[in-house]
Parts: sequence; C-alpha cells; structure tokens
Amino acid sequence: MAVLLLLMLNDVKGNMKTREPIVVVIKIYWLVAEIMYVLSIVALLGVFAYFCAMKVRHYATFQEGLALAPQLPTVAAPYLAWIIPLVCFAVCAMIIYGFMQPRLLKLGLWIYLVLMVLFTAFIGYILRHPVDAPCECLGLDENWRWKKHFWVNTGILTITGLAIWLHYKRIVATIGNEHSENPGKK
Amino acid sequence: MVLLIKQEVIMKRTLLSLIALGAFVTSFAGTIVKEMMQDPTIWEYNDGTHDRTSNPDCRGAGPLCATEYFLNEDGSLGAATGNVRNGVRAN
Repeated sequence: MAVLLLLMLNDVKGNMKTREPIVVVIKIYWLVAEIMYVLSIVALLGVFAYFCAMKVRHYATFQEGLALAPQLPTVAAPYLAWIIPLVCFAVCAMIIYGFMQPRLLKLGLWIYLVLMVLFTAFIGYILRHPVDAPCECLGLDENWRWKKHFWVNTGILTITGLAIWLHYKRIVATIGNEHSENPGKK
Repeated sequence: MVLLIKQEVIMKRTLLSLIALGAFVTSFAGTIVKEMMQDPTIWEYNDGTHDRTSNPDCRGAGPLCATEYFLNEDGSLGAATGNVRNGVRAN
C-alpha cells in the first residue's frame, strides 16, 4: 500500500514541478479517487472474507439455520450452505484477479452488487414478516439482530455502488480503465 | 516512454492485486483464528426443559428462546456469553 501511495504521490510531485495548479488539483483529485476506490474494494473483500470464514467455521449451524428458515426449501439447505460461501469466494477471486483484467473486476463488482441486493432484499422481507423470522445465524454475524443486519447491508451496498461508480467514471485511469491495457495505443 | 508507462501500469495493477489478496487472506484467516481461540459455547433453551443444542430452533418460541453459555471442561455450564436467541419478534 505504501509503495502504491509513493507511486501516486510521485506522479503528483512531478506535475508540481510544471507549476500548473490545475494539473496538480486534478492529480490530487485522481489520487483521492484512487485511494477511495482501492479502500472500498478492500472493505468489500474483507466483508466477504469474514462472511465466508464464519460460514465455513460454523457450517453445521449455518446449514441448520437454512433448513429451519421457512422461506427456503429444507432439501436445499445442505447445498445452499456450500454454494453461498463458494459463490462469495468466486466473486472475491474475480475481484482480486480483476485488478490485472479490469473487465473481470467490473463483472465481479456487478455480481457483488447483485448478491448484496439479494441478501438485503431477503432481510427486508424478514423485517416485513417478523413471524417467519429465521435464525440470525444466516446473516453476517449471528449475534446481530436482523435490523442491524439490514443497516450494515445497506452500508455495504452503498460502498459497492461507490466502487462501481468510480470504476465507470474512469477517474481511476490506470486501474479501472480497460483501454489502458495498452497505454501506448490510441 | 511508452514502455515506462506500461511498466508502471503493470506494477500498479500487480500491487493492487496483492493488496486485495492480502486484505482477503488477512480477514479470512483472522476470523478463523479468532473463532478458534474462543472458548466452546452451548445454547440452552429457556422453556424450562434446559435442553442444550449448538443451534436452537426458536420458531414460534417467542422472545428470549435460548441463552448461550460458555462450556466448562467437565461439560457443565459456565458463565453466560451475553448472547440470546429470540423466536417470534415484533420488530
């Protein structure tokens, strides 16, 4: 992270020598945007890593929780208990490798967003129908109430939206721009 | 010049990829280690049966269905962890 920051700062410093304030301001704007972009993706990966670790470690509890949830078919519980963490793993792998292949990163972020929308919608449904509320062990942390899960998920959704927005704005020119695969070509 | 820019882009992307991998591995391993270092716990139903389970079924049980306790080495209940499981809630 420090090396990356040095690389970026060096870029800004180089422009300061040219004494063009507007260029310096734009470069600082890019620097802030790139840091925000990287931090948001790191945060998103951290959340899914935590979720996967919790579900793998407490597999039995997760499977039982899924089987007891009235909204889901009981027979699907053993499969879902593996499929959900595996999908999260796959999305994280896509995002990590995506830094080398920006198109893969974009796809990974979109799948992340879709998954988070699904999870949040499921929690929203639970909050609307509290009589059928399943075990909190299905969520990110089994000690949280569903209302807390909902607000945390909303925050994660916002961060995902921000990461996708930064990716599309191409503010993060060297990371998010798939056309910068060959920077010399026009 | 073009080669230099291309090298810088590749270096930046590799670094970012490593940072992302590091964040994922740290979070995953940290969670597993934290969970493994925790003392074993067990849930006990609050319905008077004192039945114990690793995952209480609280459907239709109403609020404060089960309480989580630390498990002593001899299998007896230790102190409460402070976690409770609720069934039907009105929130």
